[in-house]
Amino acid sequence: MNLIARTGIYLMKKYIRTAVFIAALSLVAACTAQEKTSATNSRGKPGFWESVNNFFLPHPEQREVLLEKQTLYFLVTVEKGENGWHHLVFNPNHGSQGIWNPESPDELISNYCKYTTLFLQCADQYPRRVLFVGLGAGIIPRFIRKHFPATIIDVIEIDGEIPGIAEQYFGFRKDDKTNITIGDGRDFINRNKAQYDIIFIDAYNAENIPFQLTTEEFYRKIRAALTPGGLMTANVANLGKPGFMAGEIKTVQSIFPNLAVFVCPGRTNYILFAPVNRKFDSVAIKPKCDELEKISNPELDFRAMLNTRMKAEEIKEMTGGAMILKDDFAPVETMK
Amino acid sequence: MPAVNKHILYAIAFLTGFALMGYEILGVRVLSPYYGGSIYVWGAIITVFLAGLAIGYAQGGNIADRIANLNVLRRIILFPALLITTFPVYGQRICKLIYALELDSRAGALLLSMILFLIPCIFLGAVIPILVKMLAVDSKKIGSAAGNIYAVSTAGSIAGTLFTSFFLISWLSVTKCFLLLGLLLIACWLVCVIFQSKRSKE
Repeated sequence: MNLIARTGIYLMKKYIRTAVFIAALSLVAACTAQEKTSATNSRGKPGFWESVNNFFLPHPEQREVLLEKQTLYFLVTVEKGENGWHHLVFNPNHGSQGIWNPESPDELISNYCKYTTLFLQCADQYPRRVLFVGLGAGIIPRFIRKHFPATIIDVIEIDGEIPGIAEQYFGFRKDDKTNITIGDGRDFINRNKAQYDIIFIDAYNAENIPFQLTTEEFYRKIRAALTPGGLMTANVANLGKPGFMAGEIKTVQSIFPNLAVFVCPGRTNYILFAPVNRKFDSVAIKPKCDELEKISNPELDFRAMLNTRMKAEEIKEMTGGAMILKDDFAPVETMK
Repeated sequence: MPAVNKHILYAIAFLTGFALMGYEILGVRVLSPYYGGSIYVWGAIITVFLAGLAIGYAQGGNIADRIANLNVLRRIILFPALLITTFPVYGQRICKLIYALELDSRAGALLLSMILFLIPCIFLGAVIPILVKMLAVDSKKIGSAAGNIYAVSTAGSIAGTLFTSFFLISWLSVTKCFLLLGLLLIACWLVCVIFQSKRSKE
């Protein structure tokens, strides 16, 4: 009896200690993880505890997954939202890189896609040949093909699986005037001998733009690949690194003095337009050339987009202390 | 043969491991503006570094059996030290030359890596067996001598990888990083010189 009592008391003490310890630990963890207990983190994606919840009890609002594929470079998922929209997500918990509505296949949904069409403001002739560095969901190439059937479209994409995914889930169509090359964008432009009227740059790896696509040497080659009336447009996502954004804008501006910068709503993306010789005209709100006037996607509000252009003084203030990125020194992964 | 202070041998093992891995990280940074940052650029560089180490280990072992002292070590360290320090002088020129051959990206990356990195890696690899031989004065202790030299060298490699990729690349230009790593190896060479002359005075 005595032995049982003593053993009982001993076990109780032992387990009470353990229980108190676990309780204290949980309390500390819950308190210190205050920020992470919010349902969404700074990127609008599920926060830590939300993800833990989702692991055990699937969240009803999560999107249906149409495809999940591990490629050489990304864990790509194609998700279908409640409204039927397809979303291209390059890595878990990152934002949509491309949005497409199967019911309205020509509609441009993402803000940065809409902003990219501002190139129409600067083009005064039919683009003969264009280049896309980074394919993504192929929304803009699809736009180009729809409005400019005779344009030769070259695409350089590092991930061999992406063109297939774009075709299957995002309405991208390859035709005999579309040339897709699988490889690195910098390698492509190094070897390039063609001349382009427009070059669209939108290339990212998991966390940032690969450094060899951000430097002044790279943009010098891009400029050399453009026709005299040509134009480069780049989508620079706001990764929460203002130092990098300022450096990148300063780098591009050093090669393209006529750079125009537009800011998407919510500062999610900065869209750069760099004409080789002309200036970007924000005054005219209708596309310049006759053929381009026929283009009408109802969701494109040129006037509103043009109003978000950064003024020269704003750009100067932003890039004041920034560094120009060079191949020899472009610490893009750690710039703040 | 009087044994060299083992701390010197460990220091050299650590620093050469540090320089080797830092060199590898910088190598990717050098090749990316030409062949991109694709997976095969990484693969090409890792392949060449491992090949250099393999050849270096074998050759170093042969040398070590014949003669293993600070004299030999000093000469073997000096060559990669100079090659790495002067890389900013010849590196870009060789890159442009090989790139102009317009080879397929995989073949080109491999060829360029071999030309740039194979020889310094062979020499840095040869250092290891010589250090092992110098450390293992007692034939019963060869196991721990080999284990310790490899452990310390690998620790140096860990530090080199971490420090270079997390910090050095963010702080300094690639050119300055090469100079820094080269100076580390020249410091190794100086250590050999200093302690060799000390011993010869005894």
